[in-house]
Amino acid sequence: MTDYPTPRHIGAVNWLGLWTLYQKEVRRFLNVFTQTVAAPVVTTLLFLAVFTLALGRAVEVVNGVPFAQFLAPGLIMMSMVQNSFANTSSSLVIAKVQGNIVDVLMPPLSAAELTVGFAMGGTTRGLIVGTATVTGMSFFVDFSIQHPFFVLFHAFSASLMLALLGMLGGIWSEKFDHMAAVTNFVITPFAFLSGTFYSIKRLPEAFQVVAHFNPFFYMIDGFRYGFTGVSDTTPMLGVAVMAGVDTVLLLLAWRLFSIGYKLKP
Amino acid sequence: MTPRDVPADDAPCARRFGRVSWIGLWTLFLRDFLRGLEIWKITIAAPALQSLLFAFIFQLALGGVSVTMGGLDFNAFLVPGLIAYVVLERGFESTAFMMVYDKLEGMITDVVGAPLTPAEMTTGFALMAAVSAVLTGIATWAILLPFLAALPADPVALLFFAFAGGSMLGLVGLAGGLWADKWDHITGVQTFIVIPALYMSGVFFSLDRLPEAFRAVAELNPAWYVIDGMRYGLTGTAVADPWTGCVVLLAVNAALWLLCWRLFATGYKIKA
Repeated sequence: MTDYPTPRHIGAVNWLGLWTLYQKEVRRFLNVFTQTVAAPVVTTLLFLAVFTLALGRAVEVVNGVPFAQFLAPGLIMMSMVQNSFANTSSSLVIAKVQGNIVDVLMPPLSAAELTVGFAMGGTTRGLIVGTATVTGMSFFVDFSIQHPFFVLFHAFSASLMLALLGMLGGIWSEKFDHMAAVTNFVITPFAFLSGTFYSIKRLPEAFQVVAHFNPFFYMIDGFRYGFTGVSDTTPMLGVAVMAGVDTVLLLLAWRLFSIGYKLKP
Repeated sequence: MTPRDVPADDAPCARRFGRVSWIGLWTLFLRDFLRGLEIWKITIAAPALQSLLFAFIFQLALGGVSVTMGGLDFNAFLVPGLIAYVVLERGFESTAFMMVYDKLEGMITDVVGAPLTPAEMTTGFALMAAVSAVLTGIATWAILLPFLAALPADPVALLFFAFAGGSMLGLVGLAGGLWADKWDHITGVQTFIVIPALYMSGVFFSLDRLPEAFRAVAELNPAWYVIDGMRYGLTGTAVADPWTGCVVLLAVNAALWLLCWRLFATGYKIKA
């Protein structure tokens, strides 16, 4: 007699739930792609134009690389990380403020599945924006890819890192003001000052040491190394740092979801 | 005449306004000015900090190479540009975002239902935008002092161009906000029209860096007169004659004022 309702059986991983959460996160930004994909591409191209027009005559080469080719990977990385951060942080803050966070907390999704679902949504946005920006820039800059592994690894690991930071920020924030403050006063300065526009060899000695503790420096430098073949540090060190930071952040986000920090009463 | 027809002094009667409802104008100005001030971290601190970031980045990217731009030392060129940029940007945002928010939340009836004429609404919003923009500009000027430690060469011109620029972009934002049906529309206007128009008109580089054809187009951009005029006010050096800029900006402001006045008078998208 099996015609009475039985509880739904879910295996070790709720693949359907995970896929649904991921799709929700991706469709959320694709629905407003002019704001989430086209806008960052235009903004990044403007930065490229502004910096090459303002500085192109004074600064012809950086570390032996023509200025535009040096600048482009930094700008692409900047737009990727800003967007992967924006995706997860805005998703969580909006859901919390509007109360529809329960739609995510109630379904049979484990903390690990929530972490992975949100993180992959943000990473996807970063990668899509990155791809679109590379395409846009290729009309103006002569790209050559020296080390594809470094390009792909850092594109993925950096988007993932910022998606995870966005989740932590979104879980912590109680209102839009908090989130805007984190974006304006933490993420933007880090994204701007960690070597997007210049080689850190330009910095005073003390700041160069500090830079080596800043993961943003490794992602920008490693990504640039993938394109130009020139690096400010040991490339494999950057890979190790990014893998380590991503692991720690994954565990932290998983922990926050599992104890329900600021999400569950 | 029966005693009934003579109203007692304290009897309710229709409120009268003179030719201009000064109290209404002042209230409208204050309402939106204070709304912006309340979120000063976003409207004042963030733009000022972003300008500081830009100043740092250009400094580091140049790495000590000395550059002259438009007849000025690079910092002396860049700082007025950055201040002009935040003034223009804040002018736009002050009216545009407020108008879209009010429309989406239905709060626009507070403005439409008040005894304000279209002229008073337009003027109130334009003044609000100009004052908000100048305030953000002053904060940015202060934070950028380490990069350009000098008092304005011509403070009157500086204030005039900042005020005219804030009001001009405020009116653009107002028209954009009235037109927009959702956030997507207004951020579209901002990202694809306003910001490119500002970035490419002399904030970061002098127009002689542009190819000839682009240069002619850029010089038609009224924002360029604001940026060039504020650069004149701060450093005393400019490309265009300040009086030309003055005339152009007054004309553009007048034209935009008329456009917004017309939109309010016809109730474009805000009255059934």
